[in-house]
Amino acid sequence: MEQDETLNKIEVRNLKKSYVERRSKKRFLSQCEPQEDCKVLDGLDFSIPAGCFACFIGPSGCGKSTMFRIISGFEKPSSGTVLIEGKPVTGPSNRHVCVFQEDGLFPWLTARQNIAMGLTNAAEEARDEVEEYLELVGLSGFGDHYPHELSGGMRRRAEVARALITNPEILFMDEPFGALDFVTRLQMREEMVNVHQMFDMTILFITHDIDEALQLGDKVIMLSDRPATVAWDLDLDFPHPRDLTAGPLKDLRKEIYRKMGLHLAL
Amino acid sequence: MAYQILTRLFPGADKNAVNCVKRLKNVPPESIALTLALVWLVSITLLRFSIDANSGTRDRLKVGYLPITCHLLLPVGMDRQVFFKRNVIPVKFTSWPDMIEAVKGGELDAAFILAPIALSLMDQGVPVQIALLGHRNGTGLVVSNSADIRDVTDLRNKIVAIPIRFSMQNLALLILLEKRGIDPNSVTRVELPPPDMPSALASKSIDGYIVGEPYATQAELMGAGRILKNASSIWPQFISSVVIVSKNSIRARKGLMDKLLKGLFAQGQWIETHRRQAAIIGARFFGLEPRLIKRVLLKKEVSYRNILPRSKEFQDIGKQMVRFRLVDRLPKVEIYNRWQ
Amino acid sequence: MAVRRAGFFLIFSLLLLLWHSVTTFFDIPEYLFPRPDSVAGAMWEMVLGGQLYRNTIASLFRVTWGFYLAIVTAVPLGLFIGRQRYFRAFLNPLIQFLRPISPLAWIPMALMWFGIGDKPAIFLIFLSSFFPLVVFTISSVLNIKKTYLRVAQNFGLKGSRLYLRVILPAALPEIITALRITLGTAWLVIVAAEMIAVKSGLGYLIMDARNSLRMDKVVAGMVAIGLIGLVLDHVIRLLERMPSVEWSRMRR
Repeated sequence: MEQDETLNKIEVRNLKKSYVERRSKKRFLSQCEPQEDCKVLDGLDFSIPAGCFACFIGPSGCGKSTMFRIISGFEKPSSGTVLIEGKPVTGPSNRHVCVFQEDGLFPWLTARQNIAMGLTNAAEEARDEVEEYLELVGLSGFGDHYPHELSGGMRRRAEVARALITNPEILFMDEPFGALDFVTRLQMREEMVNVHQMFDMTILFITHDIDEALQLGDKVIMLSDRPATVAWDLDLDFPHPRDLTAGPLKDLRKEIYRKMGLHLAL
Repeated sequence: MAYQILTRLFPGADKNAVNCVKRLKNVPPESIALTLALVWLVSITLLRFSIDANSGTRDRLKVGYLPITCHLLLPVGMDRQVFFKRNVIPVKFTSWPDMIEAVKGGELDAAFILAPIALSLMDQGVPVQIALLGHRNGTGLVVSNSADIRDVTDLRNKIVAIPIRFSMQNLALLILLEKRGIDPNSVTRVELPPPDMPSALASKSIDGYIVGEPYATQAELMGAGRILKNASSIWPQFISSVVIVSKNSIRARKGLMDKLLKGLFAQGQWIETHRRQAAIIGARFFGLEPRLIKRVLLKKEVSYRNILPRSKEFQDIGKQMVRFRLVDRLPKVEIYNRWQ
Repeated sequence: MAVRRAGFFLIFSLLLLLWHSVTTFFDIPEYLFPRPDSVAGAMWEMVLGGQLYRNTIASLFRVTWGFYLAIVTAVPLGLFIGRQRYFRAFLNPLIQFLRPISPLAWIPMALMWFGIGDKPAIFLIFLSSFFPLVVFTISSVLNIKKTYLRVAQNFGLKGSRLYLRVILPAALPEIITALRITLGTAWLVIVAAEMIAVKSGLGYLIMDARNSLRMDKVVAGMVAIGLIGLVLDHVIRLLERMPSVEWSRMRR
């Protein structure tokens, strides 16, 4: 039992979350009856081993982001436990860094200054390190640009660099490439594979793109519609780069589509 | 410490001044903005105090006044006597309420102020005493040329401006109306700063006003109105303003204060014999037309004789104030005459 | 830019022309509304006599101090209240109650407390800027994007580092807009305050000119006030161009 817990970086046990809807607030838009508990997560159970690249997929609005906020410590669950390295999560930590769905770069800082944010040590030696990370994400030469002077893909890269420079144990990424164009997204996908191979860390990755999940994940966890439960916990042990158009991955892909209620001829 | 802060603010800067300038491009704009803001603060403060270099007030008395002929003693003194130039700061006001605030706040060592105001200040316990009068008479009731007012009785249902409720002008108007059997309530009295009165009359927003010179004669010069009655015909030996002195200032600087009062008193005698010259000084000091002040002074309606305060006169004023309900009880009058 | 400059000159030339033709055509007496040439003359006279310089310095000095004092107190207070829900509930009613009181209503108090001179005027300017600045700062803190706060929390920023590195810079664009508005009001108020509370400054210059029945000087004073106001606005707009602030304009 002891051994099992150290093997698994993250343990989620019977995680539940529900919001009490306020009467006045967005009553017409709400899917729930007023003053009734609005269930978002309904008993999630899964575990993620250390160093795993775990992808979460599921219908939009099913509570993936809520689950992320709870695991990363920004919100408290209604019931259930989240253990990281066997210890319950008490709040956000700079060992567990998030890349949020929206632009999270500070627009008042240059790319370089943003990346340096993640560092705590003194300025001089950090300078080289920041340059290194700028280069790593292909932004050398753009260090003095402000976020609004960068393209969407560059901003995402800078944000990933800011997260990586802290050398986190866990990297949370909530639909990080959702707002990018198709080609850029493919490039970022490739780079994520490299990043995961270079750094020894656990990555939790939300996406609505099934192909992305299949190409990146060592593990794909599919959530059901709201209130979310784990619909399928799937381990993928395939080498990179992966080809989705043939072999077992093609079948898995079909199976996921089917489970999501899609019957397109792919 | 300071160096650390500087290098923090200007990362590119070091001890070498040339490099400093070269690297100015690398300085963050926030630091530049902050520095410029501080430079501005320092320079505007320095400029301000370089302009007011002569504001050392230790051996100087602040004397409040309004630009009216009743306060002419002060400008003439400022022009003629070295003592005034050295030891007096004239503080010009444009309306009575402001001067009252300043007196209450203990800002002034002495002030030319309307007699009823002086009495009510003393009544409220403000530590001041009456030391001198400004002048006698020199107040006129002006009526508009266009309003067809031939006599006091025509003032019924008209609008007449007064400087302030606590003014001799107001009392004189009330006495006049009462004498002619007119209900004071049938005349609308409004309070206006004296300098505003002539233009208010010209623009027909009022039908008449009662005020100290030169603003009565001004209406005549502008052709907007004429003087219907002089205050001397309502209240003989009419007092408009008095010079009040702060008791604290007397305690602290009696010598200076007495010199000031003696000086002012002496100017009265000089003006009596040099009216034309006094008019030129007054015009310059008040920023008014010389022609106007000359006309006022040469009419000899104003008198700078007999300007020592007598407590009997102030008791009369106090009684009138009680009668017209400006105060509840007879104010106690304090006169300072040990300077004479 | 060229269009803006052209517009600037065009409107002022038109105004001048209109002013000149109306005053000459209807033969309006000088004491009611002086002609542009006599105003220019009065302006020149005041420039030569040093009157304009001295009084402008006095006014700017008071505005500077009052405004700076307001900034260094109101902005930190606003940032703090903006972050603290309980303080907000506690202090907001008080601020909202004091805010609508015109600074001019404080004149009697200011005179009583500070006498005549620079202090009451500085106090009035302070009041006129303080309350709007606090309110604007609070709202700008409340408008900060949640993500930025989460990122800050994620990186473990707390206390003064959180305020200086995230909350202040995130709120800064809106605070600078607020500064622009309040500096405008401060410049309005200084003129009114100087008509009463002090014996120097541009407000006093106008009041004094009025008492000497010099309408040309009155209008010249008004022109000077307008011009300086224009310059002040221009200067503070430079702040909006700082790269660390520019992003809020880019977003729109």
